[in-house]
Amino acid sequence: MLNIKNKKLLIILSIIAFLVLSALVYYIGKILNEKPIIVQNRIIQNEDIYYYMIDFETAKHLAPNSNLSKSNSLSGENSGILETYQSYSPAAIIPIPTNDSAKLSDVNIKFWISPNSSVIKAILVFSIIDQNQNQIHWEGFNIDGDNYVKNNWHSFQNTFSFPKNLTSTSNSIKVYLWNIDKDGNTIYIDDLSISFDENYVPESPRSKFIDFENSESKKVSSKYSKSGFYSTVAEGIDAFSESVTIPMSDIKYDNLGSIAYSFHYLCEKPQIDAAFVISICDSLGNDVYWNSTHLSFENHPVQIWEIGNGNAFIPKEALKASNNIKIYLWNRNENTIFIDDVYIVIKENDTSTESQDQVAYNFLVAKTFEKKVNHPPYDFRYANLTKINNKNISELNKVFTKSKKVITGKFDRNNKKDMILALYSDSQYLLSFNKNEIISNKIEFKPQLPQNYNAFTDKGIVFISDLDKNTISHYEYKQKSKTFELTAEASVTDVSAIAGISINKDKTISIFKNTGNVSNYLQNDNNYKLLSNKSLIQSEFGNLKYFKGNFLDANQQVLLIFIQNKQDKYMLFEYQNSTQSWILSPSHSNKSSQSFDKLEFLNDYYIFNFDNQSQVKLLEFSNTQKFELKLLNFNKMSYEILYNIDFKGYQRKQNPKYYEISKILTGDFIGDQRTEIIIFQDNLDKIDWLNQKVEIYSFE
Amino acid sequence: MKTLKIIPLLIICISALYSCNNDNKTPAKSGIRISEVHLLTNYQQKTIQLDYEDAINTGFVIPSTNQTNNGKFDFQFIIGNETDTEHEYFYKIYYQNESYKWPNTNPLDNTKQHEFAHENFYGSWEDTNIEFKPAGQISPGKKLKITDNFRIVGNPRNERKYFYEGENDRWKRNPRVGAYSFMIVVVTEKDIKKIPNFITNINKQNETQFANPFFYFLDGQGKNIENCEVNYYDKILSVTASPDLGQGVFIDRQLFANKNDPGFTDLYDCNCNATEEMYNKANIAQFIHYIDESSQINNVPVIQDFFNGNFTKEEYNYLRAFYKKEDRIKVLPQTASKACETVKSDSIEEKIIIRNPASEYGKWQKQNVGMITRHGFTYGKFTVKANLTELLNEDNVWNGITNAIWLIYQGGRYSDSINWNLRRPCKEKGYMKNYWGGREDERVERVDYSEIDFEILKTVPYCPSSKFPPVYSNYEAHTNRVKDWNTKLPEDVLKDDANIAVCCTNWDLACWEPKNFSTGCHEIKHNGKTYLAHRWEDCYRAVTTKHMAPDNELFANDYYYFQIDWQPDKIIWRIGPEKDQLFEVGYIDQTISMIPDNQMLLIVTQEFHNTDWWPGSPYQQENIPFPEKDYVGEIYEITVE
Repeated sequence: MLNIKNKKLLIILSIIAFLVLSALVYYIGKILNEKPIIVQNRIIQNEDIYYYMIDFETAKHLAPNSNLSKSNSLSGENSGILETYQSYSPAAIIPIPTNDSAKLSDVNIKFWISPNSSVIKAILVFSIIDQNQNQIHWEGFNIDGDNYVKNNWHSFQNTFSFPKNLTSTSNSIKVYLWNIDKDGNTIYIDDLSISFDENYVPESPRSKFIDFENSESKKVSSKYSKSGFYSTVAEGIDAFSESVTIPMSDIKYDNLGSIAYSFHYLCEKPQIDAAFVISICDSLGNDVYWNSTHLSFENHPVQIWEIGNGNAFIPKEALKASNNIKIYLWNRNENTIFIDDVYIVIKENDTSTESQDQVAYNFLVAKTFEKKVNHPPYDFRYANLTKINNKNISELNKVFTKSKKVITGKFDRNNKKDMILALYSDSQYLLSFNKNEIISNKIEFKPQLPQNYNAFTDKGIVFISDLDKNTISHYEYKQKSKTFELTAEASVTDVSAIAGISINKDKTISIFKNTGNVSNYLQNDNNYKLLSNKSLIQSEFGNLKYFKGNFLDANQQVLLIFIQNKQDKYMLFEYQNSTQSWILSPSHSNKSSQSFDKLEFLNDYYIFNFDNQSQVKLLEFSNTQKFELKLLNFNKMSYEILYNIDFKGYQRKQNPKYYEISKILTGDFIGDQRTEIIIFQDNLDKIDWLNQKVEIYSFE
Repeated sequence: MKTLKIIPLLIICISALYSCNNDNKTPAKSGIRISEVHLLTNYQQKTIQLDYEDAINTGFVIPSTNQTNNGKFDFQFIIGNETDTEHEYFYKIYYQNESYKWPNTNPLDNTKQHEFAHENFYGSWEDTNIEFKPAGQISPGKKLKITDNFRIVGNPRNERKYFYEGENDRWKRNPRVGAYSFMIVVVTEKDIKKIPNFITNINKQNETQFANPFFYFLDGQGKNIENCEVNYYDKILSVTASPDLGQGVFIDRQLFANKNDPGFTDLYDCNCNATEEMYNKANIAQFIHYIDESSQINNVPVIQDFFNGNFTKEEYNYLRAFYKKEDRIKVLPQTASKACETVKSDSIEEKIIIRNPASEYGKWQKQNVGMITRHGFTYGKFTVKANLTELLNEDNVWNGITNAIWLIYQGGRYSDSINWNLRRPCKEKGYMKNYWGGREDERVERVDYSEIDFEILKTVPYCPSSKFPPVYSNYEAHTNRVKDWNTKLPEDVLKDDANIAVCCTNWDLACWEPKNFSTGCHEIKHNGKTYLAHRWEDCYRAVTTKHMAPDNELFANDYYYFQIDWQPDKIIWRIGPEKDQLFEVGYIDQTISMIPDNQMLLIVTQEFHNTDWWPGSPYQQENIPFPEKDYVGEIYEITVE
């Protein structure tokens, strides 16, 4: 029995031992197995460095005196041109990057050709030259077909075996295209990529081609197509084409510097106003980067495919695996626009010295200026000094030096010009301009202003918030008595948090708090009654600025610039009479799209009518890095910085931008339906050539 | 009518004057009397202007068919046989430029030819195979009248190096301007054999070098030939040149890298184009700068009307301090994108207008512009009357322009037409091979590159070196501290606030042959003035003297004169408000620098230089805005004398 028991025990122990041993072998094997994987990864990483993209935009890697053309290109502006029989494309010459033949087993070459006929007869030559330029190896990849789509871009690729005995850093590979079409049809070559990657993947993580053939979107049309059967369409004002989303994780984004793109478009009417957009949005759908190529033509040929292109510099902060690249067309007029064959090329930051040399624009790289949205350099506009009589200049000066609070507005219903209401601790003055004279009138508030207050205005009405009593008082100006008389009052909680007050179309008022809350009040005799309370957004630590104006169209919007999750945000709201509530403006995407130059909360902003148009602009003032006055405009998707503002006509050398302290008021003080800038300038230390002064500047 | 009657009388008088002068020259032993010499019987003036008609193809010929009836200078003289026996006589006429020549004799041994006398511009009949012409037999006591003609042409020795594919490109060695002397040599049949063939045929060389016949007959062995009479006529004719600036601008397409771009020819007009007619007619071409990659700048993205009073030192300091690299635009100075855009020939006022075009948003440009003459000269007094753009504005801030009046070596017909315009060999170390190369550039015995400059810009003197470089205050970009960014220029620099530097440079490609070749600052005296010539280092390719002058005087008036007096052994730079009021501003001679001896063209340009080339400059190009308006320069007159 014992023997049997022992046997059983032995069997059980043997099984256990076998299992333990198997597990050990498995784990040890697994551990041992990891090594080659790690090694392999490392090799791939190393080999991955040996990747070269020749986009023919710069002379880098190209033989001298290369024949380039601007008449056709896949990405950027240039391509290589082969105009005649037996002509050659620009040759890419790349020094062999290593002496280790194990790292250069194959050379993978991918390139695009566009013929001006249906024929392509060419040879892609892969050769090796020694340091004396002697050719020591030659191999060709033959392309011979007569069924290509004319003027379209066609992709080709081939893998050449690298001759191991020629692996030497003193040699170079030379790759070029050779036109052997006896009829001499012109062909173009662009975006030639050369890699020594052993595990060659046909679809490059550095380029994408979108032809809308497999799209399931409703915005795909078979009416026109550049290639295949389908294209995407945007029909009518503010219509969008299909939005192509490319997860950042799908591309090689870690050293992404810019995205070069080209697209084909076709219009049905000659007037085009559209933007081809490349944006990057975060996982919540907020745009963290927005860039567009503006298509603006008065008389564009219709029903003909044209090519557009551009290059978007991508800020580092937009490079996250969880972000998505979105590509779409935003149509801005009644036209119908078709888009097809979109091609994007990921351009990495070159780690060589020159590419670190980031300037606003590099004409050595791209010789024709292509304006980037909200990216310097900006165009300048000059505000001219308006001469005013010095008689009451001290009163205007005092506005900036002595007052507790200053607001501007059309307070006097008989005067169409903006006036300045200066509130001092013991008095109040109303300043206006009449034929270059400063008119200063002492006025009164009835009842008198409280001790601690703040002041707001809309449509000529002045609202005084009593910080001690938590009330809001509504004052209206009576010209005859030169008094602001109390009309109504409201009890409001936490008046110190008020960012702005709006008088709405239905005569309700809305009090916006810096928390992102808005409360609506209805006037009932001498009191305001709370109607509703709503949280529009959540700003951090009361970091919110309020502006009201018709930024987008004839409707008035409230623009809130705020900080949320430590990021600068902005949103536009409109008052809806039917619901007596504030909603996100339907005229704006409200994605807080930011560009290279952001709409920063910390800057100062002023409503600005620059060109006597119904839509107002925003004047942005910053004096941290340098004195910067920028004029910007809102549109459906985002905002656009239009101009930098500088000054002209100032006395001697006293440009307002030189001063250490600047304070600004804006308004239509002259009555020309445009906004003027009143700017007070002073210095912390005495500077003999910069006198303290206050001036008014206007635009012609 | 009275005036007309006087003309023959004058002709007779002038002829008589020549005759009288020359009849006094009596042969000592030769038995040959040359008398009644009338040298230019069909041209009665002492000065002749070069005729530019077709000179681009043929080189200058003196005289042209427009200047004398037969396009030649007629001459006549009488040979008298004063011996007892009949002889056959032979004669030859030689000419030599006297204004721009080396002495015929070696100053250390006057029995020997000067080492560079073979470079002198001398000639005879243009067919060099015509050696001495036979005059005929003359009996004892008899005379024989010789009537003949000649003309002065380029490449008078018919040197093969000036030929291109069998054609004698005489324009590659054009006649020099200045005074010409003539020499008539008469010899008997017996003694003609004593004259070596490299003298009778100036195409031939004495071993490896040409022999100057003027040295040979006047100072060398030729003066000892018994039956040989030499009559020398010093500085009989003066030659000047003045291209008509209203004859149009030729576009030499091969100089334009962008010649195949669409729109390149959009601005061609009847007075500026690339037609064969314009090739033959125009005396001026549009000059296209070579733009070196090193001249790239990160420029402030600002466009300013520079002369409207707003661009002050403070504005310059502001842009300098507050525009960081990421705000700037990387550009190279541009060249014209379209031919004829920036240079015009005004056929009414016979002037050339150049303009650096204005910038606009998106098309920021600092474009170099200029004109170049098309007919080369070796040596001469090049005088330019011009009103070039002002450089300093009311606040004495520089607009970044360098006004340049300069000479550069002439190139060939095509790129393979090389080695015809080489400079004299450099015997010490050789020349640096390329003018743009670095310190390690190869040294070679001969190069064709030569350049003589007026470069007028806002910079500081380098000499004396104890005062250079100026110490500029450091600045910082603080918007709330004006004093941090608005730093003042040092007193030394402010002293010359309203002045610009007239920089006079000779590019000698760092040849060490001159006996006083040196680096740093080197004193050199001329006409009682002391100049400080500066060379950065011993492989630096140029030497410069500087003169500080008021911008308002040079460029704010209607015109000003600039003169480069290029002589075989020295270069003198002069400027002045009128041609008869020029004063010296620069001087360099062969003791410190190799003076070029090859054929050069004149260029007038308005350029944007990278100020890294001009260390110590108070204003850096990258902080100077792009022009809002054109910078216009006008060239009214060019003379070469």
